[in-house]
Amino acid sequence: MFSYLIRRVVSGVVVLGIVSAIVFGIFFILPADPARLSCGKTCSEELIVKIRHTLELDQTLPVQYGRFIKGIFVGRTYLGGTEAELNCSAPCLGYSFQTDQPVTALLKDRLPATASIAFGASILWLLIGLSSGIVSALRRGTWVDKMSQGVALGAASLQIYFVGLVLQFIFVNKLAWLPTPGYSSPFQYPLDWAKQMALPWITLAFLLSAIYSRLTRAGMIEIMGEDYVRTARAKGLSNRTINLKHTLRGAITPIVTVFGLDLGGLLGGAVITEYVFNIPGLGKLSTDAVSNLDLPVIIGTVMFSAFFIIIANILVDLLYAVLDPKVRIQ
Amino acid sequence: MSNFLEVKDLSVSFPTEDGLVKAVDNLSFSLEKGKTLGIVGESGSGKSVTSLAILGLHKGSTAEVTGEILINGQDINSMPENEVRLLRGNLMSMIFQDALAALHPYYTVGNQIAEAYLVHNKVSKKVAKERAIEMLDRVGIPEPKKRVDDFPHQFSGGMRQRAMIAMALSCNPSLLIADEPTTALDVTVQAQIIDLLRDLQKEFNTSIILITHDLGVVAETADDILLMYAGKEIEYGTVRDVLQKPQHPYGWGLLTSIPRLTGDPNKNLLAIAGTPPSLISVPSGCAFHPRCSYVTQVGSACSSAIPELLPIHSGAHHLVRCHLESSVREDIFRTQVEPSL
Repeated sequence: MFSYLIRRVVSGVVVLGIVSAIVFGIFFILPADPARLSCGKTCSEELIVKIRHTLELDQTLPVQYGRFIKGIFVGRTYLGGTEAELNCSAPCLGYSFQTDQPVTALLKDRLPATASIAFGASILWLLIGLSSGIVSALRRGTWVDKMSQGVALGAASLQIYFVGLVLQFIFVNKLAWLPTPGYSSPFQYPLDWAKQMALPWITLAFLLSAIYSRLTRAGMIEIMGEDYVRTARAKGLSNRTINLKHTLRGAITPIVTVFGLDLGGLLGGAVITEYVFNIPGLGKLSTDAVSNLDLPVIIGTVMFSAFFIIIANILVDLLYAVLDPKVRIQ
Repeated sequence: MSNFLEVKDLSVSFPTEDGLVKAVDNLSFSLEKGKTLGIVGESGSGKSVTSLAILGLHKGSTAEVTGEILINGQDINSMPENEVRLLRGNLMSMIFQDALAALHPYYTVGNQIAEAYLVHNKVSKKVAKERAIEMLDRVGIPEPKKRVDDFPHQFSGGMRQRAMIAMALSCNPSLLIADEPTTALDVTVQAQIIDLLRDLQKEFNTSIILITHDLGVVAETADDILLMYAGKEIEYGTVRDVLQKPQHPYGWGLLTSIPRLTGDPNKNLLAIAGTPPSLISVPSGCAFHPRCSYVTQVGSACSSAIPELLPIHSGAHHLVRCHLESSVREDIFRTQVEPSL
C-alpha cells in the first residue's frame, strides 16, 4: 500500500513536470514578446533590453525552463550580484507582468475564495444529487421519478452564466435578500461569507446536482438488480437497510470517483462561476491573466489546477482501496 | 402428521410488453417437517420463481401471485410485506446458486451472517458476531475466528456456499430453500455441500426444498420430487416412484439422457428433441407435446387440451399430467424406457 502511494506520488510529479514543460513551451513560442508585455506604456527599446535581461529572456529556452523549475524547488535570484538583486524564494513561479507581484502570492491570495466555492457547492450538490437520485431510483417510473429526472435534465442543460445571472437578478436586485456575491474571510466574517457565497454555491450545485442525481439513480437501479440485494431481502432486512446500506454501498464507488475529480477540477478555479459573480478566485485570476497575456500567472494557474487534479486522482485511488476490499488486499 | 408447508394453486405471472407471462401455473405441493422436496426442471420452468414466491419476495414487484402458500397454517401470500419480512430468514430462508454474486462484495462474511442474525434477534453486535463464528464453524469453515473477517472474494467457491448456508441457517429456520446450491461448484465440493445440508437437516429438523436440474442430487437427498415443465407440475411423487418408474414422457427423456458408466460407449444418448418453450408463447394443450415422441398414440388431444394432474391409479400418491392411457404408459415404460435405464 505504502509503495503504491509512493509510486502514485512520483508519477504525479512526473505529470506535473510534463504539464509545466508544455505550458512553458507553448507560451514562449507565442508571437507575443514577454518583455514588451511586461514593459508597459512608456516603453523604449533600451528598457526592453533591460527587462529582457532582468527576466532572463535573453537565455535559451532550456535554460529558462531549467531556472523556472529550479525556482519551484529551491527558489531563484533575478539579477544576481547587482544592486537590484531580487530574491524569489521557493516555490517561485516568477512575477506577474501586470502587477509585479509574485505569482505564488497571487495564487495563495486567490485560493480561499475558490476553495470556499468548491467545498460549499460540493456539499450542496452531494446532498441534493444523492438524495434525489436515491428517491428516483426507489420510486422508479412514478411521477416523483419522472419529475425529478425531468428537472435534472433541464438543470443539466442550463448554463451557469444563465442560472447565475437569473438568480442574482431575483435575489440580489429584486428581492434584496442577499448581498452582491463576493468573498470575505469565513474566519472574520462568517455570516457575510455565507451570504455572499450563497448564490455561487446554489448556481454551481444546481448544475452538478442534476448530474449526480442521474448518476446515483442509474447506479442504484443497476445494483438493485444484483443478487446480493436479493440476498439482503431474503434475510428479512428492512427496506431502509437494504436501500441505504446494501444498495447504496454497492453504487457509491463511481459516484465517489466522479466527485473526487470534480472537486479537484473546481479547486483549480471555478472559472465560469467566479467570472459570472466576479469573485476573486483562481478562475478569475486565470481568465484575467489570459486576457492580459500575463504569462507567469497563466503558467502558475495552469500548474496549480494540474496539481489539484493530480492530488484528487491520487486521493480517489486511495479511496478506492477503502471502498473496495478487493483493491485493498492486492 | 400435518404438512408444514402447503402450496395450493400457486400461480405467478409477470406483465411484459408481449403480454402476461405465466411463469408458474396452478402449482400445488406439500412438504412435511424435516423432509426434502426436490423441484426439478429446465431453466425457465418456474422453479426459482416458485421459491421466491414462498419467501414472499415477489411482493413489491409487478408480479401477480395467486393461490395459497401456507407455512404452519399461515398464508404467506395474503400476508402484508412487513409481516412476511419478519419471517424471512427466520422461519424460512434461502440459499442461492452463485454465492459469489449473492454475497455483498463490500462486507465481510461475518458481518453478513451477523446481520442476518441481528435482524431477528435482540442481541448485541458482539453476540451476533459470536453467532457468526459458531455458524461458520458448524458449516465446516476452518479457523472460523480468523475467517469471519474475510471478504467473500477471499473464500473459495465451496467455502462461499458454506458461508451462504451458515447465513441462511443462522436463525434456525424451519424451511430452507436451496436454489441450485451446487451448480457452480466442483463435483467433489458438490458432494460435500450436499452432505452438509443433510447433516444440518438431521440436526435441526429443517424442511428443505431443493431446486435443481441435477437428478443425481435429487436421488441422493430428496424424499419427494416435483417435475416442472413450462410453469406446470407434470409429475409429482416420492423419489422412489418418480425416478424408478417415471410416468411422464419428459421424465423418461430426462432419465434416459443420463450417461451411464455401465452403458455402451458407442450408443448415442437419447436426448429430448427440441428446446424448452418460451413462456411468452407456450404451446397449446400439453406444453410438452411438440417435443413428445408419443403424441401419435393419443391424437389431437395433446395439442388441444391441457391434461390434468392425476394419480397414476386411484389412491396413488404418484401424480402425472399426461394424456396417455395408463395401460399404454405402462407398456411404453416397460418396453422402451426401462431397458435403457
